[in-house]
Amino acid sequence: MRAIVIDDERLARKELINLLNQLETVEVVGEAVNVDDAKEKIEQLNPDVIFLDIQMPEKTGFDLLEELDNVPHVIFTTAYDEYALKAFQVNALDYLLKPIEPKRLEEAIIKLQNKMEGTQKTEAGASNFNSKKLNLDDQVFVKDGDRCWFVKLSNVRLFESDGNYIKVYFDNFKPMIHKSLNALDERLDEKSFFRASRKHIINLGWVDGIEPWFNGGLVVTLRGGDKIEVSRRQAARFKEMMSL
Amino acid sequence: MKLMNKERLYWLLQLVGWGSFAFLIIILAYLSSGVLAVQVWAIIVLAVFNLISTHFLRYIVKEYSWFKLGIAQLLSQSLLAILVLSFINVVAQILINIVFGTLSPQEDFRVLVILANLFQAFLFYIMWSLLYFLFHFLDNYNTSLKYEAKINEIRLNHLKSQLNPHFIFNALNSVRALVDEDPIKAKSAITRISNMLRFSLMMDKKQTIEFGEELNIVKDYLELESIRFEERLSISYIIEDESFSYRIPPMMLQTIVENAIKHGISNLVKGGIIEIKCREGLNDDLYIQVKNSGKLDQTPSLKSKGYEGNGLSNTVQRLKLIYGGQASFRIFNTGNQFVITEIKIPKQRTNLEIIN
Repeated sequence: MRAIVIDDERLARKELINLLNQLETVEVVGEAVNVDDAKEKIEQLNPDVIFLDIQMPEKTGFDLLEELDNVPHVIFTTAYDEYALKAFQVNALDYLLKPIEPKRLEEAIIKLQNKMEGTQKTEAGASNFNSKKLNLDDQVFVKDGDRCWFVKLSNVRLFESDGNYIKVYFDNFKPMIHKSLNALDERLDEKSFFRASRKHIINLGWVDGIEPWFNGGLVVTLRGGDKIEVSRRQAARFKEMMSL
Repeated sequence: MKLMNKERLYWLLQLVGWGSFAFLIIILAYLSSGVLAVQVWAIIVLAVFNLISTHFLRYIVKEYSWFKLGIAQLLSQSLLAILVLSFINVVAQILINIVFGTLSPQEDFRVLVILANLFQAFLFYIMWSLLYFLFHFLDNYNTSLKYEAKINEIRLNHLKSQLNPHFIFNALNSVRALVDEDPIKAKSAITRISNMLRFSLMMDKKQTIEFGEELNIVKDYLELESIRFEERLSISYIIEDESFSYRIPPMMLQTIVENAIKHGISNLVKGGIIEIKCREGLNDDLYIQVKNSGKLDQTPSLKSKGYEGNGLSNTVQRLKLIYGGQASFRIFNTGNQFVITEIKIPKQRTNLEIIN
């Protein structure tokens, strides 16, 4: 798997890269010294996994994840930061403590490999060439106060715009991310997600029922019971898509 | 608040206790031979007398701090007091009966009856005292447990803040990488880490130490940080020779420098400077200034809680404890790019060390 190491300290990066180079399954394709640098390199190199330090100048590792559209697998690294440790433990995130124990690193890599093989099977066949678009197997990072999640898009049933934020509906949660619905709409794969109205984007895989509504509009019921109105303008497109 | 509650609880127990005492006796008297209205009143007045007398006992216990006595003395004094109270109680019973006209001389003045009354009063007072002391000891035990827990928590936090785990583990991580890259530097880094650990363990109990001793530790610390931050950290010292004749509280300059790194350099992508300047003032006092790149978001944050102000508010408290009003502390922005932390320490040593 291809990895990028993100840490503001040169020696810390060097130490981790040394350790990773001893593992056959990992290839370190790049390193980054801060959040902006990391963002650029991730978009450019599209790694499978990033090793991410939390405490970096100006922007933290969590900030980076919130800025990314498509989040690769993440293994956090920290020396000792009570707040970060609490966040990792509460949210069951993978993390390594510096100085990193080679055995722990290997375990983390093996665990990740198993996870990646699992997702590759479901992905098989649906290989997509327009990798720029976010598809159902991509994950986003969502943070809401102390809680944070890596959410697979296939688990998101609904995006709802709310001022400058978007509410992301999955499981029993609906945390907010700081993005515009229009920008998100452009990044999402239109085969899987549908712009129902100015306020909503729905996941077509979650549609449970469709009923006609006033003025030629529609009301879509999602699994779980959310009811979303499809505007008249979009209703025609929706019918077209669903009948295909 | 808590005191109020205890006081209220005491009165509640007193009223309920003696109230049910009166109620029970009335019921018993009623069941055995019927009871007259005057007798009811006599019993109520007796209950009130009991309440007042036990309250008086409590007053004595508190006023002469009996709780501070040894157990043997406490027991003997209490017994004596209870005995005296029981005699008074018997007399009071007779007086009450006279007032209410419920006295029957040939019955109530029999030695056996008086002794029985005495014994009964004695039993009641004993029970009251047992409850009172038991409650007090339980309560005391509870608060002392809480106090102990609090003290331990403070000690632990203190220790943790002194060892600064974030720094130690980062330093060790850098050293791991250095072992291959520059073994000689790695060796000296290990020595410096040991110096710091030893210092923070040993300086715990001292009030003040030689300025030079503290400066050495700060130098070790900054050397280690510059291994981590490399070209992002540049350090300079401007130290007047007179400084070395002063004594300062241990780990104080160290804390200030750590803060400068934490809130200054480590937040800046391009890094910055740390400048330590020490000079003697006009009135035999030492000015220690730490200047670092960065910006202070206004002073109120210093007072607010959270880990940010922790180190510095601690510093302010320590200065006040050791030097009274003679020392001072300030932290301020200078220009747009630098923060200065300054402490002033008087030369004349305090006698605090002797007291401790």
